[in-house]
Amino acid sequence: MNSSTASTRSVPKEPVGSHRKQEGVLQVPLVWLELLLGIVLLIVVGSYLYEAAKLPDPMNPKAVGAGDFPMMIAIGTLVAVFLMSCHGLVKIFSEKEHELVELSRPLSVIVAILVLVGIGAFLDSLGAIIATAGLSALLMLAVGERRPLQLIAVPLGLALGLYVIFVLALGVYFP
Amino acid sequence: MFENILIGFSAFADPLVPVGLIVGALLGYMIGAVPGLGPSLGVALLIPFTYSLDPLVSIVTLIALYAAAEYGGAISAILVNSPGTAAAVTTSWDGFPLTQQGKAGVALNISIISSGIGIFGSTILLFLTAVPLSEFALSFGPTAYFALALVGLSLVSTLSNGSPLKGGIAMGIGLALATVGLDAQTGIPRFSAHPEFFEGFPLVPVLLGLFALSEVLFMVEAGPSEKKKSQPMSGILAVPFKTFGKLKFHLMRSSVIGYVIGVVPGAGASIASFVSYAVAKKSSKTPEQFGKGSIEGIAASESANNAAVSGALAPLLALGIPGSPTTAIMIGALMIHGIQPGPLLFTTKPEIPYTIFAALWISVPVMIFIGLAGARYWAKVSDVPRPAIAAVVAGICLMGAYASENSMFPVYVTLAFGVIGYILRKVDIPLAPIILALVLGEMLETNFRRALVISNGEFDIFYTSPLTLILLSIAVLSFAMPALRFLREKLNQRRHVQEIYHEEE
Repeated sequence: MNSSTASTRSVPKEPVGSHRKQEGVLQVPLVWLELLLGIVLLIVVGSYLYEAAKLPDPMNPKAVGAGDFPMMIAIGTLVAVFLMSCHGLVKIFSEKEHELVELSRPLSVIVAILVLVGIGAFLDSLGAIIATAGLSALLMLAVGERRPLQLIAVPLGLALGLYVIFVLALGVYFP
Repeated sequence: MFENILIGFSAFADPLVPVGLIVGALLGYMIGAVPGLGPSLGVALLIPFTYSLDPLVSIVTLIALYAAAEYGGAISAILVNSPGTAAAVTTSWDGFPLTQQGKAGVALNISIISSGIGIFGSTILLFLTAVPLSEFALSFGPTAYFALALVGLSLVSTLSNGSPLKGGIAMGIGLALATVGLDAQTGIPRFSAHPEFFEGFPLVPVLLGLFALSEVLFMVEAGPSEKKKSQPMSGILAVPFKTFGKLKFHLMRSSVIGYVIGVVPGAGASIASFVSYAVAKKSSKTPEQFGKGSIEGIAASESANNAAVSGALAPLLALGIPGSPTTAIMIGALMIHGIQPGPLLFTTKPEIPYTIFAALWISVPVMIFIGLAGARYWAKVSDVPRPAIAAVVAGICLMGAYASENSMFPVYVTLAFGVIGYILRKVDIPLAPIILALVLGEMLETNFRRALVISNGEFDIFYTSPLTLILLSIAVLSFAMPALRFLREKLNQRRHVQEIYHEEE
């Protein structure tokens, strides 16, 4: 995150390195991603609106009920999502060249997500030290680290360091 | 007011407070120096370590990290032409050319001392404006608070990077997330399939996921970092004092520009440095030097982006409205310690805002010393391999999320928002409005509903008060302006294409 306001970055700025070349780079038109996200958001926000409409009315008929403010948010967001999707559709038909979003090292990203979700989900059964060390080692592999010393020293140091700070110094209980 | 400032300075009698300031400054320099990390991520990552600390120690540590990260962003910008933060981009325009000329030490000296002057001057402005503003805000009713929150959200959504439509969607997502949990007025559970959601989405895990874990996935994409060749450094202590005498008008003007822009929600340090740089170039006697190693350019950029730190704290402390993602994260940190920022803070817990003022002033010599003495080492920080940084960030995220409630629920929230943040960033949906809307959502809804209860359901309550009317007009304008600008640009593009077509015919 390079910015103090927003942190969007459709195309990574670094030059394409050897690791990225090895694993390849997927290029997807931004408008297609916008449309896909638009459809997902329409479904999610639509369900949110449906749930908001089911919330009970207030006792005082002139007051704003529990569901009224969420309904306003949902309608506003749906309008914005609809406009973004329409804008995307217009771009698809009117422009020949589309802005591309680079998805570099997609396999590694999927592996990293699986590692995060896998270890995160079993954090309580694995325990803090094993979970942190395992997560760090696997993530470092996913980022491209192949030096054995680094792969052993950093996860161990990190797990012990976090344990010392959180548990011994700050008194936080960990599984 | 002046007795209270003594209370602020007296907080430093507790040895843990100055220790927190030094630790925050060291961490801030480190985080600022690493390209890709920044103050928002740094503050989010530090919050879990502050859970069990005294509120004053926590706040001083976080404030020191926030300010130092802006200082640190300039180091890698100057030495390896790789700005650590977006706000240091303009610093690299003149800093790196000076490094190429063998004057890296001079550039670092100017940047570090200008940053200190920016913080010092802008904190005086913060002190002089935040206190009266908070006193004025004490008279605000629900309509004014509703309008104020709307102004903050509209400015952040429209000033964020990219399309205003996407800023609006991000704001909608954040507001929707803020409505999850028990309704504050009726106690009805909303969008809460599981009792864990009754208290709403926990702010810190959401922040860790959106800002930090999504960045880990971007690091995975980027792959292992290549080592950058750092230039030799010399002359860091050889800049004569009279150089700053010559720069005094640039420094004063840039500090004011930075502070004023920092106050505007959504504008932030990067806009402050760009505007200040442009103004400095325009008013310089040697504008041709800008971009080739002008010390005026470095001074203008650095003093402004650091002054924006104090600027962003003004609406946070005086009104309870965060002016930037980092201050929105800071609200999360304050709330963990049971502190609600806003006008009442100055009367109920004056030690908090006044200690922040004192910390900002005291941090200036500390950070200048740390910066000048350790510049050589901060430059090395940017060489830490990316896989190790990713591992550290992910480890802190998961452990920090668990520690926030000693349960697995925040860990799941962090993981979910990490993936969501990555996807949203890929589609250029800004994250800042989501966080701000999540923080301001309750204030917006509560005051909206309270106002309508007072008016017996009549909407005229929102336009009978001049203050509310002015604030609502600003909100409407800030929502409408980008759309109008977008339409005008499209029309101009179409006209341009038609002209070319006619010329070809």
